[in-house]
Amino acid sequence: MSRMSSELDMERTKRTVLAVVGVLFFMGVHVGERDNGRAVLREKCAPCHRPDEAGRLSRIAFQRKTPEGWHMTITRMQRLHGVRLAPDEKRALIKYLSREQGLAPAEVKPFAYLVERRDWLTEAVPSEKRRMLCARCHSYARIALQRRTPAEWTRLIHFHLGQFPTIEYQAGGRNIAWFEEALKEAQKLAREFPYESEVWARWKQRSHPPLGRTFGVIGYQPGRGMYRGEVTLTDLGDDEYEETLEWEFADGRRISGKGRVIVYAGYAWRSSVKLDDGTSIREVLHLFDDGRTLTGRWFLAQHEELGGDETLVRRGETPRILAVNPPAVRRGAPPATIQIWGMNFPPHIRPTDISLGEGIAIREIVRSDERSVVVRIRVDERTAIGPREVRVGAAEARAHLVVYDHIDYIKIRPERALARIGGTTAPKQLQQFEAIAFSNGPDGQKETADDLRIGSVSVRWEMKEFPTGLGDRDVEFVGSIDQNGLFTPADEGPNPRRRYQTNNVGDVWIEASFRRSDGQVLKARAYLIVTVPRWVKPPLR
Amino acid sequence: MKHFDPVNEKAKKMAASLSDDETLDVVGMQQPLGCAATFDPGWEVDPFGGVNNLCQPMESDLYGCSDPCWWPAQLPDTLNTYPSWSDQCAAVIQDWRKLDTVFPEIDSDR
Repeated sequence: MSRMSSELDMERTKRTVLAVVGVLFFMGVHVGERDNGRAVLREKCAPCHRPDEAGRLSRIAFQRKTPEGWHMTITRMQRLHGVRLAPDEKRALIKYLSREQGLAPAEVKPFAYLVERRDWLTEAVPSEKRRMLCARCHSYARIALQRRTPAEWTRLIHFHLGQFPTIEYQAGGRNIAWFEEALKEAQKLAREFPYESEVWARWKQRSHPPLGRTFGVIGYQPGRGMYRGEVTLTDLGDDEYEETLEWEFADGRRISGKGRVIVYAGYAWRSSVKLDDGTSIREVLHLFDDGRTLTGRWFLAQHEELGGDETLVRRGETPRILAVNPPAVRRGAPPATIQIWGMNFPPHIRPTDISLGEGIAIREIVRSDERSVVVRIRVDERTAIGPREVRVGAAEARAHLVVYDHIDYIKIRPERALARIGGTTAPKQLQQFEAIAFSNGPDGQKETADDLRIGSVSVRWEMKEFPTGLGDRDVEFVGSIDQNGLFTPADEGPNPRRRYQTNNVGDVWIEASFRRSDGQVLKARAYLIVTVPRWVKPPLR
Repeated sequence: MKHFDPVNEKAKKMAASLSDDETLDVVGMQQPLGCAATFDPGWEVDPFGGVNNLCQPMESDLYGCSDPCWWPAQLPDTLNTYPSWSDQCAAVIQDWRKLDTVFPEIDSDR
């Protein structure tokens, strides 16, 4: 007993020393967040995660993950092990760990869809066994966005058994000896997703200059269409920025907003922005390839399923084309207006400065400014169908304008979708659908590589039964779809009007009908599952 | 079906629920991101990729799911991780409105 208490005393003394060191540390003339993160790690994590001879903290020093991954780990430590962290300490810690033990852009890119919350996707899992062992409960991307040493992959399996002790007989009792097989799979994961990697070593050594001040924005929101805009950053230091955004949709609607960005590990942009209509959004973007272009998705803070794709291009000195709206024009159509969106366009653009490729005549320049050129064009009815390169003077980058003859078929995006009932204990999960028109392309065959994507078209939306049994009437209960393609599920809770008080769940077809100018009606279908709420909602699922 | 007319009650129901131009696409064993399709009968989707074989209404056996942590990635497990999740909700079929989402987002966390 006395030996134990003397050990405890020693432990207390050590902690006091550490705390004093921590306090002294904070008293420095200028303490950056980098040092704060390290100090929090030392003060709040190291007492349990004891360092080895090389100073590496147990468990922590042998894993790498995304900012969201570290956020989830730290939150678990707070909830299950009582770690007390002030919000700014937690933020500093996530920043520090994402920088010191994060993932390289190339490691994130194939699985960025999860961080971008594209929850409706059906992902490809490399083997049936891995799907059974991991991806029956989690997205596969949640696993693939981690890097661990072999011992740490093994401990992850042990953690599952310790925290969820019934997992062995639940999973194992079905068709697989889960624990034994998962341990074997862990060794494969250690080879495929190793702690040490060359791309990360290189990325970590690179210096990460400030991102820049202004960015041109091009985005696409399903259900609303294309938009362009500008983002301005004010550097607040320690990888944080104040963000001001201005968007203008193709229909002229404008939105502005203000918020805060944290850039993790020099490339992972996470922002929280309040739009002027009161909506809170998040942006998840990554600086993947050229060091100048950020790509990703934004979504509503309360409904991550609703949002849009977005690209930010850092403003340079030279003119640059970002997009063309609309992205496709019909040959032989009456003269039409197209907008070329970009940045740093020179003043006084003349028709001869613009090239839209063979068969597209430029009638006039309606107006032009530094960020857009509006051109009136006429597409020759005999010109070949296919993409054309769009050029404005010597502007960097190209965009493509598609010339098509007629709409041959439509497709619904997404073709498989998921919504969740809710509204009381958990928010409803909605689903935005859109209909995309295609031309069969030069070969005249549907669904071949040369098909031309024309863009979204407005259609009539309907819900139809997906018959899975006699008297199946899910369409009457699961919710409704509006004429802009937005499906809103019904309320949660047992429904006394349904047999066995079944919830308002079900599976249905979503059908789009498009009436072509010649009167022919083109149809497409998507399969929608309307299912139960999910009550555990971590950032990565 | 083109050359057959339904004569009894069951056949009429079948004919009404499945029209001639409707074919059932194979969608089994496909699930959207992060859905649990198994641990019989599955949380979001059943092992066949639909919802017909899910336990319904789910409130009737909810604690049979949360107490033995049957779907701990989707539903709070009261065994270890969220022991007090269902404290305010003794009779779930009546009191289900008192349940809450866990891991709510905190602005300062971002």
